[in-house]
Amino acid sequence: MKGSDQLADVAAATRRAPRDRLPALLDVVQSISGLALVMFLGMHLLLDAAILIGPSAADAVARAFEGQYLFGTAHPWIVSLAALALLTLIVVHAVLALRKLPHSTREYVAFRHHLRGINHGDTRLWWWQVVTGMALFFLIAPHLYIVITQPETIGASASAHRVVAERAWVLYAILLPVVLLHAAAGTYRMVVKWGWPKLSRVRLRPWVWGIAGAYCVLGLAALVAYTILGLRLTE
Amino acid sequence: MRIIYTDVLVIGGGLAGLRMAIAARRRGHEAIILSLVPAKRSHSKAAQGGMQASLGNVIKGQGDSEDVHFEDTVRGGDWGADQEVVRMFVNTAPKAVRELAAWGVPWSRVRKGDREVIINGQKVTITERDAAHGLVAQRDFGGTKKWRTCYVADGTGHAMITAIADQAIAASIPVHEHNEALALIHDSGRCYGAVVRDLVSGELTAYVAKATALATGGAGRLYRVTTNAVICEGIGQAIALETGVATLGNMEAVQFHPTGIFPAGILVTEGCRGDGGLLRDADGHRFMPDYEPEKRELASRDVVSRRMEEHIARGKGAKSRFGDHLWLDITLLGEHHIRHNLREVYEICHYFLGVDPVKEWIPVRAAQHYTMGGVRTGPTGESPNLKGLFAAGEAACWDMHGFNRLGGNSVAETVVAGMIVGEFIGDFCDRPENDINIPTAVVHDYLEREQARLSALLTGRGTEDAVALRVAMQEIMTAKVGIFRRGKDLEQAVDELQQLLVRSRDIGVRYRAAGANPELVTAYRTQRMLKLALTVAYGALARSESRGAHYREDFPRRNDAEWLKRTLASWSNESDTLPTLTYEALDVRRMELPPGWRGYGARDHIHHPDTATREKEVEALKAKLASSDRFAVQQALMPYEQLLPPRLRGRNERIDDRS
Amino acid sequence: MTDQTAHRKLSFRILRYNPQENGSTPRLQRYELEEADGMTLFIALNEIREQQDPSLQFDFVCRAGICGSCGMMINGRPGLACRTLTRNLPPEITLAPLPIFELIGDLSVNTGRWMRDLGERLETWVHMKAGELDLGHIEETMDPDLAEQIYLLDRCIECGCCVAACGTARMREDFVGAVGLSKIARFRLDPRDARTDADYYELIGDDDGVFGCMSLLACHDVCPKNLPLKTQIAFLRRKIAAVGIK
Repeated sequence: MKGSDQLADVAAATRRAPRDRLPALLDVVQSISGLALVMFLGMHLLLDAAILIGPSAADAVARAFEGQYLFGTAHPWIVSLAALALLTLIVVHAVLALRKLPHSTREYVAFRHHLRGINHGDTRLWWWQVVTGMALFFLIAPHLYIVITQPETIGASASAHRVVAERAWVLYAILLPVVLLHAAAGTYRMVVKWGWPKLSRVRLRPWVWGIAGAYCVLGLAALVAYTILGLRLTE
Repeated sequence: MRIIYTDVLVIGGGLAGLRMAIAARRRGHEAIILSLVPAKRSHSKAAQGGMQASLGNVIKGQGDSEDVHFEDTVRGGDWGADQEVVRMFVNTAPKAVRELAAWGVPWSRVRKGDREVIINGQKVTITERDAAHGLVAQRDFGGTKKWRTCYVADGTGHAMITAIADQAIAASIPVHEHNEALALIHDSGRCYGAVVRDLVSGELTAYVAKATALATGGAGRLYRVTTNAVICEGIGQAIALETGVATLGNMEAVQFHPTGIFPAGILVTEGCRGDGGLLRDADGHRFMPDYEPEKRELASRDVVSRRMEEHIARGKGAKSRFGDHLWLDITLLGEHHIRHNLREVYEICHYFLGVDPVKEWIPVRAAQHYTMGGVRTGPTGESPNLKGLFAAGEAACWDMHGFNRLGGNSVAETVVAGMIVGEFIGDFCDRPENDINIPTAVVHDYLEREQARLSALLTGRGTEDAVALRVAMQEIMTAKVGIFRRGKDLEQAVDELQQLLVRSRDIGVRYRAAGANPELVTAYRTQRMLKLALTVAYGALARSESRGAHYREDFPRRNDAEWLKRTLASWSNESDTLPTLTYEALDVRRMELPPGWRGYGARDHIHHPDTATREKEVEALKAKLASSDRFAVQQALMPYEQLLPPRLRGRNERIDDRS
Repeated sequence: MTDQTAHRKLSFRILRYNPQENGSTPRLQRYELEEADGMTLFIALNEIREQQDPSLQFDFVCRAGICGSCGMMINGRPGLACRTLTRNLPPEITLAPLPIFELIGDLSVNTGRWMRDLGERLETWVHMKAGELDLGHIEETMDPDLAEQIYLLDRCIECGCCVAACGTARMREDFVGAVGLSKIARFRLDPRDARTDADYYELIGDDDGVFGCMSLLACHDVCPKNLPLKTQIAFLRRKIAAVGIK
C-alpha cells in the first residue's frame, strides 16, 4: 500500500518558531543558585563552628575572610562585598522560586486543599520548603544587614556580644533550623528533579536529613558556645 | 433537536471504528466517531495476548504463511466462516501489523540466539535466527499450527489502540465521547446515520451521514459471567436489528474463554497457555492431555472450555464458596517471564485475587468472551439489506470466524476489517449517487420517535425494574444458553426471555432526570438487549447440530448436510417478541478448504453431499498445479484478490523470501 | 479471598454534585453497605446505585484495571476504583471525583476531553519519517530491549490519577502533568519518531511543561501502572534543559 501517511506530521515539522531559551535558563539557574547557596551554607556553618575550638580560632577565620593573610592587614569591606554578592544570589534564587508559588487566592486555596487531601510526604515537604523560604526573607535580611554594614564586628568577642547583649541569639536560633530545613528540602528536590545522583528517594532521604541534622547540632553547639562566651563577657 | 451532517458516521471508538475513520479520512471524507467512552477506554484495550499475522519471524513460526493461517482459521470456525473473507483477512493481517509497527506500536521483538521456552510442560531451548533479530515476535496460541500471534507483552490491545487513537488525533478526527446511538435513520433500504443521545446533557441529535459504520463490539453483558467490559451490551447490533431491515448473522455463536478468573470473570490471556501455562484440576492433575492428546491446552477455545466444564461436571473442580473452578498454573514460566511478558496478568492476580501467579495457581473458569455473530455484512463490510450501513469488528458478522474464533484473530480482525471496510466506505462516499438526499422531515420523525420513547420511560407509569429484568436475562443466558445447550433448556430460555421482553415494555424509572441518568440508560438498553438475547437463544434453539462454540447435547454432531448455513435474524415488527430467522447456505463447491475434521475435538460430523465432490476437485487441481507456486494453486482453488481494495492487494514479504 | 468472618458495615461518603441540574450543590452523601468477600469499589458502587440511589453517577468500563475510566479520589488519594478492594480500606470510605478535570456529575469526570486536548497539544503520535509506507515489505527492526522500554512508558492508561495528584496541576491548569511528560519521554525514546529534542523543547520547554514540574512526585506514588515517572521526568528535564541552554 502506498499511502500519504504523514497528514499532520509535515505541518508540525514546518512551523518552527525561534526557540525561547529563557525557561530552560531560568530552571537551571534556579537549581544552580540553590546549589551554590547550599554549599555556602555548609561552609558557613562549618566555619562558625570554629568557636568550638576556641575564640582565637573564630577570630582567625574572621580575619582570614577580611584578607588579613592575603594583604597583611584586615579589610572588612571584603566581607561586605561578599555578603552583597550573596544577597544578590539569594534575591535571584528567591525571585526564580517565586514563580512556583501560588499566584492567587484560587491557586493558594487549591494547593492547600490538595495538601490536606492527598496526605503525601513529598508534597508536604514542598509546602514546608515554601514556608521556610518565605520566612527566610525576613530572617536573612537582618542577618545580612549586620554583615554588610558592620563587617568589622565579626569575630569571637564582637559576635558573642551581639548574640547575648544584643539578643541576636533569638534570630540565630530561629534562622538555623529554618535555613537547614529549606536547604535540606531544596537539596532533596534538586536530586530528585535532575535525577542525579541516581538514588531512590528511600535511599536519598537518610542522607539529606542526616546531614541537615548534623549541621543543626553543629550550629546549635556553636550558638551555645557564643552564648557562653557572651555571658562571660557581660559578667 | 439538532442535525449534524458528515460523510461518515462511525459508531464506536474501538480499534475497528478508529481504523475505519482513519481510512475514510485519508480518502478525503469527513468522519465523526461516536463513542460511549473516551476512545482509548474502549474494550479493544482489553485484548491482551496478541494479534495473529503470519509473519513467520520466530523459528517456531518458520514456514507460516497466509495458507496456514487460512486453514487454521477455517478449521477453528468449524467451517462456518466465509472462506473468501478469511482469505482477505489473512492476506491483510501482516500488512496491518506492519502498518501498526510504523505507527508506533512497540511490538515485542525477536532476540537472536538461544532462549528457553516451555512447550507441553517441558523446558525446551530454541534458537532464533540472526536474520529475525529485531523483527516482530510471535507467540503460540490455541488452534494454530505455527507460532503466529504478534504481541506487545500482554498489553497488545492497549498498545494498538493507543497508537491508532493517536493517529486519529493526528488526522484531526473528532470523537464525540459520551454519546450513544439510539436508532439508525433509514429510508427505503438506505441508512442515513443515527439518532444520538448525549449521555451528559440528555440532548438528542441526528447525525446524518452518507455512510454509517457500526463498530460497537460485542454483547458479552447478555451473560452474567463475562470477560467483557460493562459497555459491551450489544447495543450496536440491537439498533441494527431494530431497523427491521438489516440482519444479524449467527448470533447463537458465542465464545466462552477458558480462563476467566474466578469468580469475577476478568480475562487472563490465552498467552498464559500459549507461553506454556497448564490447566490443573482439584487434585493438581493436568487433565487436558487426557481429553485432547494432540493440542492439549492449546486446542481451540470452544473445545478447551467444554473440556473444562466436562471435567468439573465429573467432580474434579476445586471447590470454593462461589462454586467450582479449575486452576491455571503459570508458575513454571518463571518470575522473569511473568513480570515481563505477562505483566497485566500479574497485576490482575495481585489486585483482584491477592494471588502471586509466580508462586500460586490462578483460579479460573470459562466465561463468556466473544460474539462471533453480529451485523451481517458482505465482504465489503456493507449490509446486504441496508445500503450505506457498514459494520466491522466484533459487532459484525463479516464472517471470518464462523462458529468459533481463534485467539488472536479478533484484535487482528478489528484493524484488518477497519482497513478493508474503511476503503470500501471511501469508495461508497466517492460515488455521487450516494450523496445524502434524505428529507429533513424524515430525520425529524426519527428524532421525535426516539424522544417519545425516552419520554415514555421518564414520565410513564411503568412498574418494571430494568435491573431486575436484566439480571434475570443474564441468569437465563448463563444457565440455559451457555457452553452446553439442550433443546429443552433453550425452549425455556426463549419463553422466559419473551416474557421478559414483554415486561420490559413496562419499565419505569425512579430517577426522572432527562440529562445524565444512569437508570434511564439501563432501562432503554435493557429493552434492546432482550431482543438481542432472543436472537441468540432462538437461533441456538433452531440450530439442531453442534458447530464450534454452539454445542447441543441433544445434537452433539456437526451436521454439514443440514446446517452448513448461516443464521440470519431480523426483527420485522416492533410488536414481535421473536426474531424472524432465515438461513444463508454456504456453498461447499466454492470452498478452498472443504469441510472436514478440525484436528481436535470430536470427529463425528455428518458430511454435506457436495463435500466429497469438492474434495476431489481440490485434489485434482492441486495435482495439476503441483509444479506451480502456492499463489497459483490458491488462485485456482478460490480466487479472492479481486475482493480486496487495490491498495491492500499484494504479497507479504517474509525473511525466508529474502534468502 | 474467602475470609469467613462477619462482614463489616461500610459507610460511604460520596461527593454528590450534578452541574447539569439546576439548584444542585456539592454535598457529601452517606450510604451504608454490607461488605462482601472480594468486594471492590466497582461492586460496591454498582450495588449502591442499583439498590439505593439510581441517580448516582460514576464510570467503569473494563472493571479490570486496564482502561483507566474509574480514577477517583479514594479517601483523598487518586486511584482506580475498580481494582480497589474494600477490605484494604477502613470502614469509612470517602469518594470524590478527580479534581482538575471537568466534572460530569458525582464521581464522573471528563478525562477524555482533557487527554484529547493534551494529545493535540503535545502531538502524541509517532511523527513518521518522510517516505511512503510499503506494507508488503518486512518491518523495520527494533532492538528487543528498546521495544520493551517503549512499552513500559506506553502502558499509561490516561486515567488522570497523576494529574489529580499533582500540586502544580492543581494550581496551574495548563500544566501538562506527568501523563504529558511521560508521553513525550515515550516518543523521544522511539526511533520511529522523527522529532528531535529541539522539537520537544517547543512542546514542553516551558513552565507549562517540564520546567513547571516541581518534583513533588505524588504522580509517581499514585500511578496505578507504576510507570517510572520520577526517573523519566528527571531524564527529560536534563535533555530538554540541555537544548535550551545550548
